[in-house]
Amino acid sequence: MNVVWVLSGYAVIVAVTLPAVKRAGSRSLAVAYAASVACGLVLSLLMAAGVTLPPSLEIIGRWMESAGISY
Amino acid sequence: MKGIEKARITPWQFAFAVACFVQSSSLLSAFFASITEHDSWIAVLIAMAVGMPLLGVYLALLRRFPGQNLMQINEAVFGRAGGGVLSALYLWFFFTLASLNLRDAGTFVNKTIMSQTPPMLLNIMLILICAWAVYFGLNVVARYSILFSLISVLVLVVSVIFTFNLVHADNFLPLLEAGPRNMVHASHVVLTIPFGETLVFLMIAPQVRIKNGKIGRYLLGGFLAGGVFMALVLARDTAVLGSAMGFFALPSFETLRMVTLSDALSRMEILFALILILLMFFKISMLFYVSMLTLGEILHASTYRPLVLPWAVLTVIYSMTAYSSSETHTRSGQEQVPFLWLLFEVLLPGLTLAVSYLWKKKGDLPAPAAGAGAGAGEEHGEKAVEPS
Repeated sequence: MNVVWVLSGYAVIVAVTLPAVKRAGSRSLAVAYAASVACGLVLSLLMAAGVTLPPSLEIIGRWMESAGISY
Repeated sequence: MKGIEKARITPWQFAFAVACFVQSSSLLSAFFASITEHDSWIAVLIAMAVGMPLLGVYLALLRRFPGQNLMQINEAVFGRAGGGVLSALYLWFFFTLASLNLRDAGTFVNKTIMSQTPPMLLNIMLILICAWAVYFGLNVVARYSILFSLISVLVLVVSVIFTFNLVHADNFLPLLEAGPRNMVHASHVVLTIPFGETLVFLMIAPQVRIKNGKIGRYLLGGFLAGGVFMALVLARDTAVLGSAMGFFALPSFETLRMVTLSDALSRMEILFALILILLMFFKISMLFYVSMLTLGEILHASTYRPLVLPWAVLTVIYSMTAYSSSETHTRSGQEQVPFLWLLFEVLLPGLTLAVSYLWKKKGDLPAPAAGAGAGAGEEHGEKAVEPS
């Protein structure tokens, strides 16, 4: 996955979905939409740049193990 | 809040959706097959028995709050702020389940059929199909459950016939060799993954065209059908592989790989692969749909559809990054996740039910948000719960 693929993919997603957000006319929906797109775009670009994102569930598992909540 | 989803499904579609959802988890036998080996089918039966009271809690919630889904029930019991926090937790839970199942499906296809294709590409293709189904709503997701469920039963019957010459009854012996601790461990894993995951159906139960009091038999029927299917799959694998099934990541796949009827009829594992992809498509679609529904409820929006594609991307990213490897995923699924899932599948629903009874005793159940329950229950002449 490279940056060009990520950017073009997101261009398509926004082009397809933005009109529906406008039609819905809901402020909370628009905020959630903008946050999801921004979050997804940043994470995708980080992955495209070769950054290894932290394994979130694995980290939770390690916390639980250290707290003794584990088999 | 008004119901986001206007579509309604029939009780049979609901029952088959539950069955299909549980059946699809036969891929996850790796989580417990290595613990109880040839006793795994007994662990499934124990988990089914323990799952009955859990189902009773879910049904009690549905009966006390007719026409309301889990998020609306949370809001009715804990108020807007408390219900909002619980809904956010459940959103994370459903979203995590969707992502993990997507990861499982992608890993399965990558390891067995398309080994040269990057897992991310497989995940993207699968989530796009699921997103397509979710965009068109519950009807589309649930419509195929009957077909998928029946096809998987047919494949099971055919596979039992084909493996008949490989069956050794001795493989079941000695019974209960795993010991009580391992049996409890494996039953706990099966109870939380996948039986407890049927909690997701509390989100769509109000959309079934039936009075809430009668939905129990369909939920229970689907649960039992799915559970028995899973136990039969494991019994077949045990009869063929014996204790060796604990060494395989996919015992059913290995069982069918051993089938050779003639030079022309071999490699029957493709049957398993096809049916598993169908079932996983259904399960991921259902989980993704419930995630979107939950998000829509939290936002008090009139629709979730514009969020489907952005959240599909997030699901793929989460599926790729939740664990650093398949080994840590399996280990976590065996050792920590069963405890974590207990919070969402047992403790929180139990607490919600207990608090709702306490409110009832005080005669002061908080009113649900405006419009909540304007779904199926009221359509069928049922009243929302009222303080006594």
